[in-house]
Amino acid sequence: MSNHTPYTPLENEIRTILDVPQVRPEFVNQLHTQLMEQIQFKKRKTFRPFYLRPAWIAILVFVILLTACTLIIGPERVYNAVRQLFGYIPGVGIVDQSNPIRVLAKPVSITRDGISITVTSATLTGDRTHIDYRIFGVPGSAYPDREDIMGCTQQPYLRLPDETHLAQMDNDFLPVPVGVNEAIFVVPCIIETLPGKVPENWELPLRFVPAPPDLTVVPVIESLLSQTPSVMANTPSSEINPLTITKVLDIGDKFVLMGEFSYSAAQDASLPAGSWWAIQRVSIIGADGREVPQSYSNDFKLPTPTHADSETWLYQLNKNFVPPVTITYTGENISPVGPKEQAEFEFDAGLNPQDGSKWTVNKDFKLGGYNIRLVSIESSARGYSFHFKADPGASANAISVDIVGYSPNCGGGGGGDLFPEEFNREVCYSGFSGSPEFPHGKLKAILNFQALTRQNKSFQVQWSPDTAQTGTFATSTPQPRVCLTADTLAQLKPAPADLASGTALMYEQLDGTDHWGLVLYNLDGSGKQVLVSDASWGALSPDGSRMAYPAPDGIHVMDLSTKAEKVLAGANGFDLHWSPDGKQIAYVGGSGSIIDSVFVINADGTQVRQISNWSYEAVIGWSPNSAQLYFVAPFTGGAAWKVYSLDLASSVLRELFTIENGTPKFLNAKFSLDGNWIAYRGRDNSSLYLVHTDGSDMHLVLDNAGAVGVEWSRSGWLGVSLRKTNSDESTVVLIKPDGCEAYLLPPALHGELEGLSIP
Amino acid sequence: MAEKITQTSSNKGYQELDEADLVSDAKGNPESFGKIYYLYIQPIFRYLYSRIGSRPEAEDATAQTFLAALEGLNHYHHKGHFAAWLFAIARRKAMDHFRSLRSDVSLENAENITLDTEPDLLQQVIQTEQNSTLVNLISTLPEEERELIRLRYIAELSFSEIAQLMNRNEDAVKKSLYRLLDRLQSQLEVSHE
Repeated sequence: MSNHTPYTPLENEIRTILDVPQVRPEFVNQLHTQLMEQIQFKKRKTFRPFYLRPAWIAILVFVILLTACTLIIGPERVYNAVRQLFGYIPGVGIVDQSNPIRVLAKPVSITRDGISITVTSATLTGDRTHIDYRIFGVPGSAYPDREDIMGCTQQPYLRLPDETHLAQMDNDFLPVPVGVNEAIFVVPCIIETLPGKVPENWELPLRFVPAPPDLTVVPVIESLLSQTPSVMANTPSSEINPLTITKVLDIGDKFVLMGEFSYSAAQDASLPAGSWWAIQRVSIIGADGREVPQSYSNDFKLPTPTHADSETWLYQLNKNFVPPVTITYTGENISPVGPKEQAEFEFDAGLNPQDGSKWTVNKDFKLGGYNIRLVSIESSARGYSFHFKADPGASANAISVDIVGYSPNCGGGGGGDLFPEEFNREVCYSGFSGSPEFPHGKLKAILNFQALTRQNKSFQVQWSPDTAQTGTFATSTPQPRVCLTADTLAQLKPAPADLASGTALMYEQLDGTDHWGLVLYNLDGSGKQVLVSDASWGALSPDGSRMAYPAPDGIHVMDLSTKAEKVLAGANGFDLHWSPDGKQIAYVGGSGSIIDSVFVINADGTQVRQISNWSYEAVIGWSPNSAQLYFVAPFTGGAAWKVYSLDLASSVLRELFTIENGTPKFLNAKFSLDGNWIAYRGRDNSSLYLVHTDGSDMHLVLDNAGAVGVEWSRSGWLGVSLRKTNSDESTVVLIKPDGCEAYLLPPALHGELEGLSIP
Repeated sequence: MAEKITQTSSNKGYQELDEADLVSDAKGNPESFGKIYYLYIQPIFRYLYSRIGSRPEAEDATAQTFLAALEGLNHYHHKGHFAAWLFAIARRKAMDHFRSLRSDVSLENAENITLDTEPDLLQQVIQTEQNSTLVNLISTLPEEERELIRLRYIAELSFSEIAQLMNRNEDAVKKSLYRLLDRLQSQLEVSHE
């Protein structure tokens, strides 16, 4: 909990008025005792109860039988026979096929008071009933505005003709018995809404029919691990590889690998007492040296560890890898070495140390053979931060500060890069500055130093699919129409010179400050102009001559040639979108109980118009003739988005289609200025899709590439900022989606793309 | 400022650990969980108090949070987001608390739920600081924005931790908060005119 930016006066005021009591020391001690007792109890429990879902239990039993049958009648016949028993249905999970699978005959929808509930699909198997349903149109005012008032918590259920109720268990319902082909889907109330605010007691009649032959049910084959995974621990002293594969499922186009990592095995007897192991990275590499693409779905759950000191893992590997795959856990064994050293110093914090006070010290210490200089001390509302400069390598050791007579309730890590030569050590206290518990006056402090040794270690396990299954593999064949993947990003060429006349608006951290702001660049990285600090959600006008951005007093429109600004007072919001004719700006704002709905204001500041009145909508963009505005509204729960267009002259609202595979978090859908495509972020928060405005031709264009910022230019270029892994910085690419012509913009453009203008 | 420097050494094996080390250490050596506990007890309690508004209930939820964290520590995969993981548990415990209240109270009496407990923290502030425009402004924020304020200014989480906890990207969280602060500032200025 470090790495905070300095607080503004407003933030400090908020913190002051929200101050809450400190925890009672008696309670802290009592709970600590209880936790320690619990730990002792856990230690006595050698084995945990073995818990599996019904389908997994069935699979386990099945595997035992399969092993026996394989020995008796041969592997090929067994393989063919068992393919029929268990299946994987994407979006549903592993299902028991011992009974015929049934599905919903047709979607069922009911609308009351403008709110609709639709059951879109159902899958009935021997072990459960999976229902997909959507709720749309619930106004924000139906939900409580205080967290101590709970809305509806009653879960939906299925009511059978004999009045049996089938409850929801996990995400699914109990199985509908064979022969029962009708049920009522009952929604007593819409989850979290307040009583009386929206219609209650919804009943949707469902009818079930045998699954059509083309239902995707992928046979599930559990690998018998007949080939023992190769153990490749690179530390000879390790007698047992802590990394093990426990189960492999073949589900058609993917393998699901499950396993365990044992911390006790990682910390073997050859290591000094008191050492510990820290995982830094996990990689899964194919035989061609490439990272194996993974899928992410909620269809599988982590297995339960078999030992208390183990953690389990699960990876879903797309089959476009070159076997064998090597899973590598890389980390460090960290051990204290030698005695702890201490140095003492004093400083006078004054009787009432203020938040933000700073003392320059420049005092040198010699600890562990390193020169360590305490440069300065800064106080905050919660404690003190000690800033050090030291010899290279010093901060790889344990360095901390204690203030004598005061018990800290946080401290430790300096954050930031690994082992920098400048680093901070922070220590905080239960009392706030000004309280008696907060260290003040003349203080004696101890600088602690404990030398550490760090031994890099990696543990590997290698796995190949059974020989009979290897024919299904391709060698990293790209999907058709995908223009860019994380792998191919590095192969992009720089943008040609004729694109340099374009400009990009970036939201980035301003050099040498903790502030973020809007910065304009030429596309060759030159001409950097910091347009405004502490602002975001900037939008370039289609001709690139103006920039709009939200500010407390309204939307500001800046003439980029003169930097003159005009304030559109009364327009408070964000997510700004210029109309192609440059005469209007659409934005997302609030009004009363409406949260984040769409508004339009003329660019001259006249006539604010509210476009929608649900909540949490987002603007997509404008039609090329500036006559229609496109926006999205989320379903309850945010699992999907409805796309709408509004004709501004006639106020006719049209529901166009539903985006099913978009991220519920930050869809960032953007309409191309030629009106041809809508680009939006995928459910993995990393990919980018394109779709026409009628919902047709939806396809992946950037696969798992870290897409965040999305902008179109008038000339048809799609600009996307791709967030680097574990970084605030991005790489910006330009793509012509129809032909996949793609270029990499210079590293100077490293923020989030918020505007793009290419003549 | 006066400094007095002495240099000593000791043979104590104790080492100061950063968060990642602490979590790793606690997995292999459960007693080390105590260090994590002391690191987070204060912010977890303060966060839960701010949600629940009652010291006994907040202490109960705090205890449940740490017991659940102890139970689940081996499932935690350290990617630099331990605080987010721990606060996610705390949020669930707060929800469990409200659900347990809810199950004992009929829908018709929802408004009376707080009568048996101390009022919501924000509500308390409203009662004691009626004249504070800022307090009133915060009290009218939607729940998601109030949660952002709690996590940032009461739990003292970093943007990265909040982003992980709220399943959003860090930049979006920053934007949301800055946008919110801008709006509050604007509304304050309007109210002072």
